[in-house]
Amino acid sequence: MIDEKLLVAQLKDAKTQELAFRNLMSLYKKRLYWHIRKIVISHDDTDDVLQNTFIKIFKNIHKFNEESQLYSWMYRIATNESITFINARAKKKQVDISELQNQLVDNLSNDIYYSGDEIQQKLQKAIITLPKKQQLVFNMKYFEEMKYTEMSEILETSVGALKASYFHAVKKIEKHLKSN
Amino acid sequence: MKKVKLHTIAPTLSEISTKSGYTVPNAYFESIEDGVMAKMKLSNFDNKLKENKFKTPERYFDNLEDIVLTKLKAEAIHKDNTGEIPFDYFETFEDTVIDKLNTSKKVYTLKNITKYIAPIAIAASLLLLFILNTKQETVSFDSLAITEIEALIDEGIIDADTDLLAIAFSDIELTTEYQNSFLTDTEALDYLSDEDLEMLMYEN
Repeated sequence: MIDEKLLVAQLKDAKTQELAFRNLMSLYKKRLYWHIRKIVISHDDTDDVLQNTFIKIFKNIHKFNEESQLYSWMYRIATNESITFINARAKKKQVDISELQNQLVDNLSNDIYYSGDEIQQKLQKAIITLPKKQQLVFNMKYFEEMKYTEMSEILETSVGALKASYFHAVKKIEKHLKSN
Repeated sequence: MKKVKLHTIAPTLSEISTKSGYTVPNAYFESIEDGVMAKMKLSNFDNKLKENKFKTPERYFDNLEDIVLTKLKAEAIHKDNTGEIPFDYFETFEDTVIDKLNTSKKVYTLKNITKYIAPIAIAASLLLLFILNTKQETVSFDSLAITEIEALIDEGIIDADTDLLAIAFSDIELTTEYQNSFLTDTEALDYLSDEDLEMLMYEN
């Protein structure tokens, strides 16, 4: 169990912040990576967003008021960075976000960093048909197996609403898988 | 939602592995910290490069609006006054000036000429009189004594031609001792005869 308060104090102290920052990255890099990867899909894009997320965390650590937990604060930053990235990419390609996600999932079969089979790719196609918030909830619950209480803090949504959102997402995906 | 419950409400989904199928390059997670640190240092370096090293004089921006507006007004006035210069004006400027210098004539200033009309006219008249009336000997202006000239003036013999005198004796510098003189009323009345006064009264 890490001592978050101590880590935050070390991050805010100029003498210890570099070492503390390395520790922070070691602790959260995988969790944040997979969270981002589900949103932006490509590994290279995920790598960019992950690095930017950590840099943003480092630069804004003095703004972290410790009212929420450090990991949920970092997840929020990662989520925002990922969504901002996807929006910018869609704007650059002059397509809407759902169209961009379709293109990205279609390209998965050619992605050297994707080893999913046909049914897993179908699942990815089904996920991107969901509203954005439901996509987040489904990915965090289904793949990351995150607790509703943690998700509640990250997404700033009540546990009840998250449960309902996940239930609806599951039903829609099941319907999509059956019809395809 | 537990696996059993998931199977009940979404049997197809429950058969799919919760492994997403996404993979990462070998040893990717071992290099993330170094990658982030390198990117941060590069970002800081870029920011330092982007820092503006140029400075302005103190309070430069405080007066900038006034300076620009003044300059605009000055330009507007200048434009109104001058308009455009003729084509090739500056290319032919030197030649134009030199031509003018070569052809220009000396300008004689008839400064205060009116004050000298009387004496010059007298002198010229005397000279002509002697030339026309005396055939035995050549008379020049130098040969006349000043007192003789004055005597002739007093007797009213000389009829001065002012233009001729001005041209002939342009190098003579005349004094201005009468410039500020004035006559009193009595002196003026004495100067004017009764006939002159009557003429003036009728004319006015």
